[in-house]
Amino acid sequence: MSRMRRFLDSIEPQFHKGGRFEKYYAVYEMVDTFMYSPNNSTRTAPHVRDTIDLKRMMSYVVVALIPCIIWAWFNSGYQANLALAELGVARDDWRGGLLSMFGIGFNPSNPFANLVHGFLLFLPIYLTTLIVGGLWEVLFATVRNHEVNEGFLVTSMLFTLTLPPEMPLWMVAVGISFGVVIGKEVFGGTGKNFLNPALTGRAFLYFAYPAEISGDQVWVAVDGWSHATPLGLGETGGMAAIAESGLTWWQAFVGLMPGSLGETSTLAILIGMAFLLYTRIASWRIMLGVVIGVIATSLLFNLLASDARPMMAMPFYWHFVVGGLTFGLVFMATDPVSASMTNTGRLVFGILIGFMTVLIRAINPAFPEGIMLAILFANLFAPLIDYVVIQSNIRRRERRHVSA
Amino acid sequence: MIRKLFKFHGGVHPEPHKSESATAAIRPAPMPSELVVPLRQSTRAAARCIVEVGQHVLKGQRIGEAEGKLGTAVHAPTSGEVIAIGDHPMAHPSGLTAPAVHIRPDGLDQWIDLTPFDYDANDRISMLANLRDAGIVGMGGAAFPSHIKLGTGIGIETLVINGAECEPWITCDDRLMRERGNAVIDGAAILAEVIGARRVLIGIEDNKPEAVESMRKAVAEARPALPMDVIAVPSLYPAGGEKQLIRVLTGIEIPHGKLGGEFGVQCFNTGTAHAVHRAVRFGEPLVSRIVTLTGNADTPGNYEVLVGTPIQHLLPLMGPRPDTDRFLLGGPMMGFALTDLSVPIVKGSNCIIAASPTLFPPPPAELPCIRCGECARACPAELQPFELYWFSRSRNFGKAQEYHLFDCIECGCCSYVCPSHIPLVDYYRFAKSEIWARERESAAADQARDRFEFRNYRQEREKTEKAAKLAAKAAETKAKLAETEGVDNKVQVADGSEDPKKALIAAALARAKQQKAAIKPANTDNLPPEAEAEIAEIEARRQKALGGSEPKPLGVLTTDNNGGEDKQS
Repeated sequence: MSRMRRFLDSIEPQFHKGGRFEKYYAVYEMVDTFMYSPNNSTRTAPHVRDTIDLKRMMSYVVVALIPCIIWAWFNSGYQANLALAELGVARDDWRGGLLSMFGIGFNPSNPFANLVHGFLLFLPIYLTTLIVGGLWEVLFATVRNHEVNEGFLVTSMLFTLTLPPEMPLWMVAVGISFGVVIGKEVFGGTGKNFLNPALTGRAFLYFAYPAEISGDQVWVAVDGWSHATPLGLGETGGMAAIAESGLTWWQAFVGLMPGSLGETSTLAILIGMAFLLYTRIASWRIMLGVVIGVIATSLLFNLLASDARPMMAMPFYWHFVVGGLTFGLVFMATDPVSASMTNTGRLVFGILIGFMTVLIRAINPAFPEGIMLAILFANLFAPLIDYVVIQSNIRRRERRHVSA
Repeated sequence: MIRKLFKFHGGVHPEPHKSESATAAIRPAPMPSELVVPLRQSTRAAARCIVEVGQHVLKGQRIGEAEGKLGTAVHAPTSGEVIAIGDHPMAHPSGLTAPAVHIRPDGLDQWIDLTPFDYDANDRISMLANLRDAGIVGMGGAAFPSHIKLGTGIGIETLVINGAECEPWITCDDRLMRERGNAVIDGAAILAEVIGARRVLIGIEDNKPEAVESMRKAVAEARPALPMDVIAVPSLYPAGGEKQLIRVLTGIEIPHGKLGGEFGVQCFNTGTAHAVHRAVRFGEPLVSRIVTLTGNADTPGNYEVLVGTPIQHLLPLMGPRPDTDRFLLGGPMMGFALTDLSVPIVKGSNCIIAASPTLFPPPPAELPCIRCGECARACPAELQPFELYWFSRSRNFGKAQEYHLFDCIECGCCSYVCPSHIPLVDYYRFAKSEIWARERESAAADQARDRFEFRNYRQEREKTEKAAKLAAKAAETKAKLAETEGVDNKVQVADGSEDPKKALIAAALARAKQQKAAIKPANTDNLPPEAEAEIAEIEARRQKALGGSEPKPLGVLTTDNNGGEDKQS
């Protein structure tokens, strides 16, 4: 280790002002602080500090995502293997080659085979996200002279998990570029963005390349295999269509259904949610707000249900297990940067998301995935919500002591 | 009796670290070879020096006279000789200097004649003056003059004695309450009498059970005339903040821009109560205080230290360990690192902490704010610290004030919890001082403008007065002239009767003259009075020069008009 330290120290002057690599100080700083904790800092009160740390918060979110990641590997592999078995064909790309070479095979009843298959589907997308998004991060950090932030690890993981398993990699690259650059960096980087960068990237893909990210063709990583998500079924045929497909609520809860990589298993998401709530990283108020919003709105629509809008009849407990609702509510809505900051505001923010999600799902069949748009929509309203909360709080207090 | 306690918003639980010094009894600190007594002991007001170099002073002798509304007296902490009077570095984050009296102790520590103050035989005003002249200030750190606080009004319902001592490491109030509980209770009774309180609440954090016990015993022994309750409050930083303690004990929430007095509560530190007791019962002015010496030290303890003792003189008492890299004055939450160890102990200095990188690790680098809201959750003033941070950072000071920047008590809770390690309090201090600087600037500009406007007004006024004087003089001359002219006319007429042709010419000339005079002021109608006065003056001069042609009276001066009419008739 000390050799590494010496090496870093010896090359450091090159990156300082006037040095040969002055422009790349951000890169040096990233490597340096990744390996060693920095010691440049202010020396004023308070001289003691809580043990919480931004890096730890970010890594906790990644830890909370682990169940979803593992489930993403298993389920996407399982769905692909199932489709291959049914079509009676073999996989003829590099993944198939690797799987055959190591004799792992394509048996859907072999969990290990599913896991490895899914991992091979996941890995290229994730690596693309990480490399392309990371390049943008470093580029901006270099030009702007600030540090590369750990927040990107979370963004890249969230972005990957919301994509279908066979997204073309160049689209992945375009999507994350849009998310990082337009969703975050142009506004000044971490902490200054008002939209969730991962969702911004996904929304861009959704509108730019709808064929690759919506419909019935894309959710299982096998060409020519069409399988609608329960949400897609619900949009067209209502609860009856979902029942017809043979999917039970419990299957949907566990996540044995086609869908985006990491969004299918409500169970896995709930494990992550418990971790986030226990460590107090994510705001329970936002989560509660979404739950209230979804339940209230879906109960309302249940009363108004008609044949023209079959989704209106979907009971709230189905809303939570289909589509990306739970994933969005746990990991996306709670992104503190783009959410409301006041406590009351957070509750309102969550309710707005829940309401908009069900509204989009039930009323607009063109956009089955409501949570993504609902969160982006609420992101835009977050500062306004905070403003109203703070102003009304100030007014209430003034009144209180005037009357006292 | 179980009393209902209230909660204040937020707060944090830093490691208390009280045990290091809490068991060490108060001991007198050895006499230093030189004392540096700052003349500025209370906030915002320095005392006027009343001793000279070379003068011998006794312990307790007044060396600085209270000056100004917020001034308090300053006394010699021991007997000795004044060896210098001049600027000396003070305990201040930026190492400011302030005038101080340097005293070389003679080692006798001889008191001046002391006379206890008899409140029964005196009135309230003289009591307040007595406290001011005894140099009593708030000993919790702010050093606000106590007589001002006590003077806000009589009929305060509740007196709160603040023994919370919520900052980590500090134990001076703890020891004071344990060892001199009776004195503190007596001081509290005096304070209660001065403000006319009907009850006294003594709040002590529950991590000091011995202090609570000792104070309860003292109350039982004193058998005070009014109800006194010693209350253990939950240990939660900053429970010792004035507004926070009042909130916990009484449930009263003091709103933005108000003081406790307006809500029938007044709060004093235990150390202040003790000082009041000494001043009233024994006539002793405030010349020493208890200071905790702790931190990265072998022998932490609590010492009775004379005001003016240089801090470097105290350091050997606690034996700082070799890896000590700096010394903090005050607690770790609100204190600051000393830049100069020759600074003297003042009445508000409660603790010196030897800091090492292990005990107080340097803060990690500042990262971007992610709006997690932890700071808002911790803020005891119920502010939105991150909003204040953005406004301060972007120099949007108006907005920062709108979000009540000045309600921030700089307790450091927000910086303590910030996961991005943003030194939030530094930003607020920066914003506050910028705002103060701007206010000073604009006040100076206002003053300059006022001065300029007054100067203009004064010049104008002088001009008018001068003009009026001259005009009056002119009128006088004119009247005189008119008289002589009248005589002339008569003479002329008399002449005319003798020679009609001549008389005709003379009459025509007189008419023409009159007409000319009547036309002339056409362009002077709307002139300001002073201009008219000026013209009148010139006219008067011309007349004088011409030697008596009749003038057309001008302007508003009635004497002139009258003069004119007289003349024409």
